[in-house]
Amino acid sequence: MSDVRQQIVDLIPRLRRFACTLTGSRDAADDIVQTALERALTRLDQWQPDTHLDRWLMRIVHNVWIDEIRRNRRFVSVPEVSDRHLGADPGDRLAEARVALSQTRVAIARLPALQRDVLALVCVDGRSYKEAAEILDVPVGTVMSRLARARKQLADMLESPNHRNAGMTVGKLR
Amino acid sequence: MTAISDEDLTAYADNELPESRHREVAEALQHDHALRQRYQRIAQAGTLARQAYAELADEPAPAHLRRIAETAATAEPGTEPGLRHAYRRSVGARIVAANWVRWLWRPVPALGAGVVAGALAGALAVVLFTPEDSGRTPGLDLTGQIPRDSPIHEALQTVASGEVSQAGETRVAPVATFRPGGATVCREYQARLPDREDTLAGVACRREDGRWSNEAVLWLSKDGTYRTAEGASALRRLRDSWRTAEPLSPAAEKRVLSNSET
Repeated sequence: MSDVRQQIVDLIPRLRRFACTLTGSRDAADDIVQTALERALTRLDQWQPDTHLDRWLMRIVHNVWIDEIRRNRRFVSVPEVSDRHLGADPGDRLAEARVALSQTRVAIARLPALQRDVLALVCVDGRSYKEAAEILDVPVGTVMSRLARARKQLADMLESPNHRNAGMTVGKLR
Repeated sequence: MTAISDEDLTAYADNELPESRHREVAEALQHDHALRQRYQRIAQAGTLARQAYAELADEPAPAHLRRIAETAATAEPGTEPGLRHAYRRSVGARIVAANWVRWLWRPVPALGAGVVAGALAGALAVVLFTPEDSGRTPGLDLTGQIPRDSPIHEALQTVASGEVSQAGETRVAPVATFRPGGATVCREYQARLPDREDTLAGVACRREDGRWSNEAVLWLSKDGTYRTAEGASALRRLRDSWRTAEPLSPAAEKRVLSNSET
């Protein structure tokens, strides 16, 4: 297998996590990554070998997601809260932590799309503002202001009891 | 000092503030309890977001996504379309000339390259030709003129695109014919040479004296590594200058080839 293909394979977990943060759903994320990989491979000539493959691929994932939103097809912001994250024993601290994390996923999925993507890149993927700006093709200042709003709103949602209940409901529905 | 905004606190948490502002915020956080609370909420939201999806990055890639990354290409797996098919498809997509620096180029199946390891082996494999390769292929100067007694010359002169000609152990397959500008006739071809694992792909143009001269050659290898050499920019220039050139139709090609009996 070629170097480039191997690099792409190695990046799949990270691309999935990015797509999952964007969609809130593992299935939707896998669909997006699949489309993105196919798109990337047919356009591999557009990738400049001396630039970052990971950023280029993330940009494609992001574009596929945006296309998906525009088509308004599915799961745009219905989060996934799987049972195994809810834990069996309510008194278990680990279970509590997991509930907190699944609530965080619900809250992230409710952020506006344009805040969710910066959050996914900077907070989840650990990108610098400059890298995030490059991937999203927006100015660095835009990344900063959207990210500040995203965090503020996320904190608000996580503190609100209404949100907490809503999160649990979604968890039980699935 | 200007008031500290949520953006300042966010950028502070991410270590993205300019140094002077970073110091100001750090200083203020030490003395201002309310500011510290604001900061903690913002920082915590980021930490929670990271933790919420942290475990996903450790999950191995699902098999179906791996498979796409490993094999997806312009061709369908398990089929050997044959040269006619490959030619028509290339012409249809008008990609032949533009394809020079596409790393997706693959050996023509009918030449027997890459078939052993699967139809898609070599799909992504381009080895740019470097001058030092020239010495390793005795009897063939890859960088310039193609000798008249070479099987490649013979094939370029007479063989239609899509056909394969064989002379000894050398197999040559013209892929398409172009007139990139004026009267010049150029042909894209692929060849399998004795004792070479890789498939040679080239573009040669016919000079006034009737001899063919390689404009660019590269090796399509099975293992997928490629070296970039000075050749890369030459190929890019070639591609750019040919962007508008379309492959000749089989009938036009036939006329051009029959005129070449000089």
